[in-house]
Amino acid sequence: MTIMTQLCFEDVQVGMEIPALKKHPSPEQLVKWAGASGDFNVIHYNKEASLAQGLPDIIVHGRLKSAFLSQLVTDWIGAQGALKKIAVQHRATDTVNTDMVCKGVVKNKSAQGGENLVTLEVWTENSRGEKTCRGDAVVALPSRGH
Amino acid sequence: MTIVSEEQRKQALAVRLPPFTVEIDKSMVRRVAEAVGDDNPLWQDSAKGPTRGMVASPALLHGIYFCGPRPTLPFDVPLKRVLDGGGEWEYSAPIRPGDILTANTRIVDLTEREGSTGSLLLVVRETQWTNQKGQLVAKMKATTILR
Repeated sequence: MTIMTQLCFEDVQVGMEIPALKKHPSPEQLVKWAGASGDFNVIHYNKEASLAQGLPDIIVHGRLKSAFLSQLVTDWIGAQGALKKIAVQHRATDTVNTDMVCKGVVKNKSAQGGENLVTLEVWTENSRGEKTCRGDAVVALPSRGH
Repeated sequence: MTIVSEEQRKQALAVRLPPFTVEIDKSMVRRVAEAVGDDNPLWQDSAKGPTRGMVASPALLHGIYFCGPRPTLPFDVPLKRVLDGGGEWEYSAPIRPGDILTANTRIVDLTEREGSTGSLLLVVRETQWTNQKGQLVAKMKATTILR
């Protein structure tokens, strides 16, 4: 990770896109997430079991996708930013070994109760450009004056 | 088709899951960050910066270890498949190795919908996480779809 200057509230404009985060979940990554998260549903590591359930392949955990979206946001806000809230809805499944891009756009900014809050829309996109999960995030950012 | 009667709905909304406690340690924080592929120095043991010391990434609470068991309804429903509909995480204080977190979970919403494959029941659970100082660290809402 390169050292970046801290993002400040003043740097943010409504409508701006935040830097995208690319993922390509491998079977190894899904097994690591299964172990770290406790989700050992077979559809996340056993292809035969997935096919038997009518699924096209091994499925990426929904919670891993919401974790990716959290990373998208925490990568952007830097060490002095705070992720206050993230809400994610799953729309479609993603399969193992496929490209996924996490993206976000700034929807609103406001100073409230002594905090500089920014609201974002975030989503994961598959290689066909479909949004497989979408959500909203709220972050607090430092001000350049401080 | 009605899956849940008004009386059953009331019963479900009165459910309080038994509180459960989990102690956060460094390897847990590290394994979550590694599984996500998140190399942010804040989640590393050597973390420097304004927070001084390792903190857990937001993804820690996305693990189902932290969401408790599947929703237990106080009655049977004629639906077999369980799907993750999504979730909402609200963070109010950092979580660090050494913290002892306690989860209190209740069912806050039950909604029936007609999907393309038949009836769906959406169950929303809310979990409040407090640390050993009694401080609220996070609030989470998880939506499970039964169909």
